[in-house]
Amino acid sequence: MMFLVTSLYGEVNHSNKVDEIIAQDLKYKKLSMPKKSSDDVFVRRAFLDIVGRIPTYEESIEFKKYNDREKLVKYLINSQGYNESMFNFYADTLRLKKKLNGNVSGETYITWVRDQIKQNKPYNKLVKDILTAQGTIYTNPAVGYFLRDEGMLLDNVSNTFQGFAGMDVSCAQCHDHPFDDWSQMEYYEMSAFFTTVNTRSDKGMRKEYQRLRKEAEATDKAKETKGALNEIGQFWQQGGYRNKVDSDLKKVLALPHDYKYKDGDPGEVIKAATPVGDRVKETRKRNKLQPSFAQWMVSEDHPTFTANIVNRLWNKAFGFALIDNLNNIAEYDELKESRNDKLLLYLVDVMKEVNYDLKKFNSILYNTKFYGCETDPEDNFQGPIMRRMTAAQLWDSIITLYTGDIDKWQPENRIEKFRYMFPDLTTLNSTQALKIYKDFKRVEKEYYKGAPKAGKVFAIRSSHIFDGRARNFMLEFGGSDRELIENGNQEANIMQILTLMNSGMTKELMSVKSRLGQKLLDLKRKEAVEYVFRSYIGRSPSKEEQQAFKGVGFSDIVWVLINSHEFKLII
Amino acid sequence: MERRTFIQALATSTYGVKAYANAPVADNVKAKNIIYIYLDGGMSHIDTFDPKDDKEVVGDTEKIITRGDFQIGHRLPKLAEVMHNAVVIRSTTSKTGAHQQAQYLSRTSYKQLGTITHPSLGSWVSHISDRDKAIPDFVLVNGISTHPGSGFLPKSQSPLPIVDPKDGLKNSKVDDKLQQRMALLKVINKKISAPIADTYNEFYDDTVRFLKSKDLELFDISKEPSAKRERYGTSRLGQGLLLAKRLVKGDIKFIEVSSGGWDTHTDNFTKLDDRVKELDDGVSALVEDLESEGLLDSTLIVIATEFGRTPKINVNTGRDHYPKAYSTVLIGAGVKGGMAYGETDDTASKVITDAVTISDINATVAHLAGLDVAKEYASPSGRPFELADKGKIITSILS
Repeated sequence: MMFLVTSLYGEVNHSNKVDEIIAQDLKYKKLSMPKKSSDDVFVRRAFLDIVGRIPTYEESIEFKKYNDREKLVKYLINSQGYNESMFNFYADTLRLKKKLNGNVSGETYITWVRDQIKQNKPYNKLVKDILTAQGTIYTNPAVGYFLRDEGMLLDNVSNTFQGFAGMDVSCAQCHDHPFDDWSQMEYYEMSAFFTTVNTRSDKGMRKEYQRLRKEAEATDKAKETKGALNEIGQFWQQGGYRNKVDSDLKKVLALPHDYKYKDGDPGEVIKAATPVGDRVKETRKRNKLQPSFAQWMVSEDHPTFTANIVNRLWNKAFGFALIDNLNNIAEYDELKESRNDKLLLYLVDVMKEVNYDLKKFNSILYNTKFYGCETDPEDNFQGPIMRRMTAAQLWDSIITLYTGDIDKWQPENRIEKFRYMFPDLTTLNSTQALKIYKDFKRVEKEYYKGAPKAGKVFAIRSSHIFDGRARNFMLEFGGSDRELIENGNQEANIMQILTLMNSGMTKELMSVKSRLGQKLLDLKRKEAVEYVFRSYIGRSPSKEEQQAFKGVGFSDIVWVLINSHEFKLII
Repeated sequence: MERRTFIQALATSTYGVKAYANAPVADNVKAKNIIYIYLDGGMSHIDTFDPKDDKEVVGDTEKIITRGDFQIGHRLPKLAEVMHNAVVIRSTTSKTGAHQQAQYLSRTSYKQLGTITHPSLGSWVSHISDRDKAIPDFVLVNGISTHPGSGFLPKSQSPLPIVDPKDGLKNSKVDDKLQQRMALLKVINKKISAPIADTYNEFYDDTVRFLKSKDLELFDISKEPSAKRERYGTSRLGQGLLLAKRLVKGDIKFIEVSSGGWDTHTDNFTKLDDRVKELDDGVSALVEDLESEGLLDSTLIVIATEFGRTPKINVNTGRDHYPKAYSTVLIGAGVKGGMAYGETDDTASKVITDAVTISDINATVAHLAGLDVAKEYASPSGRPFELADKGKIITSILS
């Protein structure tokens, strides 16, 4: 099968083949193939799905000139916006936060993920790097993956299975899975691969910390300093010293004290073993545990690893999953039945063929005719689903309207800066340590340096926002809290509608002093209305609309457009 | 629009699921409404509700008498006057000493996990009470972004957030152009016909009706006479409690009011001069008003926090985290008044009688709200949970 795929099809042909499989399925179900969408609709949708925002007036017009869908997809996938949109995709799976567990700053980890996307690092390689990372958050930011669940090894294992394999094994953490085949023993065998992962720094390092604490306590007592003891604790945390990830080959995993099954005794030490896919077992070389698990996870023979990423990317593009839900696509070691098995298996092979190059894979999806069809208002596999924008798409579209170029501002990459900021602990006394911490706090706040603002809110990409008012906007519209994997939703509620109707952001957009408002000063009435319509909903006003909007002022037009179905829905 | 319909509209979501609702029987409901005060950061039990004689331990805090049969710290003179309505639980104990995890535990009764979010008590109460199906009877005043909210329950049970009680319900100021704009909106929206478009049409109609209704005033504390506003104190806690009182009058079931700044690692005593005064002003005014309006018999006030603070005063005249022993207070509906429950030792460092966990307290509150704490509920993935994680109702404090 693999051989055939490789030899017969190029990327374009993969798109055609996808269409063929879908057409066959629809024919079999006696359903019609959906109609091709209008160009205006296509451009807007492609921008939203690929670069996470609506096109500007100018971008929409430019497409009308060259009118080549394939060229547009190529342009979008190679733009910065694609990276930003993919960052949000990863951020929801990896549950990226500004603060990791134990209050450590997650900034370098976030930046690292951003870098991997920019390089288009093959997905399997990325996962492997994450699962084998060691060091501090500053020497190797990928350890952020373990530090995100610091002190919660078993939860981290559950998240690894859910995020990368689409397997929900979390029940088996405490007992045999009630309606799946996972046993608690298997859970412990899987977790045993990570027992050697040590996320708390070693004795030597802790001794240095105690020395600094004593110094700080002494200066506090002598009233030379105030709160130094407390701040040394912060320094220890924020400097990444407390949570150096390394291997402790002596550490073992034992069954819990209340273990109740016949296949083991409470307190019994468990050896690592994979239950499904290629069987991998613990050998004498305990330093091989982490890498051998990572290899097992990303192996082409893993029953769900490839299908998991295929399913998630399909869902991102078309608004529905091939296997629902994204976080649970397997029954024990087999894929669940999908909406179209033939299609899923074909795409799994394609993913392997393109060597997990997600840009290539996404190109294949977005170049299908099926993607370019009119949306399906129901859910019959007849086109992408008509849906509300995600919170991030909505925010990024609003900011596009506000600033025109949303990707102009980029945060500084500060991985190196932080690495040099925190030297070896043995070289420091408490006064020096406190000075470094003070610097760190100042530098940490400079993350948003130079970022444009709309009123009191940063007018920047959702992918750069982790706190503050803009973050609240996203949570209100169902953006993931990133506590759980893919935890967002597109449900509607009245608070959202009040926000679209009356918020400060809407008022900023309605102001004649806004970017669009200023632009219109030079235009005739008819052109101006056209400009605003196309900017917001990607099309020209109809005759009836022109009539209805006669004499209506700029602010009111903006209010109506931002509240319209066509603005917030992906149609 | 009737309040009920408004609340319903607020709650309804496009995918509103009303699974496993099991409304309580009216007779079992002692606390029709609950005001849950949460002190973020960890309130020092020693300097408030569990003062001691040992000078090494209490620092400058002195004991004062109350209208109950126990004493409290001198920073609470007004609350002392209403303590005949309160039970002070001095024997709360937990093992969780980190803020976020401890706050999560307080609000959900469960240990924080990386694989599921448990519902907070307010969402449970609003979900199960389900008086008129899908009512988000849960308003969160001064909330924090890490609040667990509705957890695995339907999103429609998420708390309605009030960021600042002075501002009321966000973005609810009506513009006189609303009608004209809505008419134009209908013109442009005609182009899309799909189920999702219908849903949004309904939401917009409901919102407009709500904006024109009197219900909006419930959220507007500026409608209160200024003398009354001042009596609650101008702090966000005080103003939040005044808002909570209005919402209780509007029969909203669960109002959570947060107050920050209780993490007194440094200068514990000067910081508490301010914090505790806010608490004292706000809660005493609230109790008095509920009582004079005849609502205290049906309203339960809870004062909760994530942990206590160390009996040892640190080098920075502060106190550090102390989960081993701390206080929780219940006032009003369904509880015995004037009573201290449980006891810590002479240094407030160890519970010596009637230890209770946060689960026990949440079970007691849920019980007073008429909920069945023994019932098992399934999360959407089929995992079984009880609403207060097997907590036991503290029967000896019930009236």
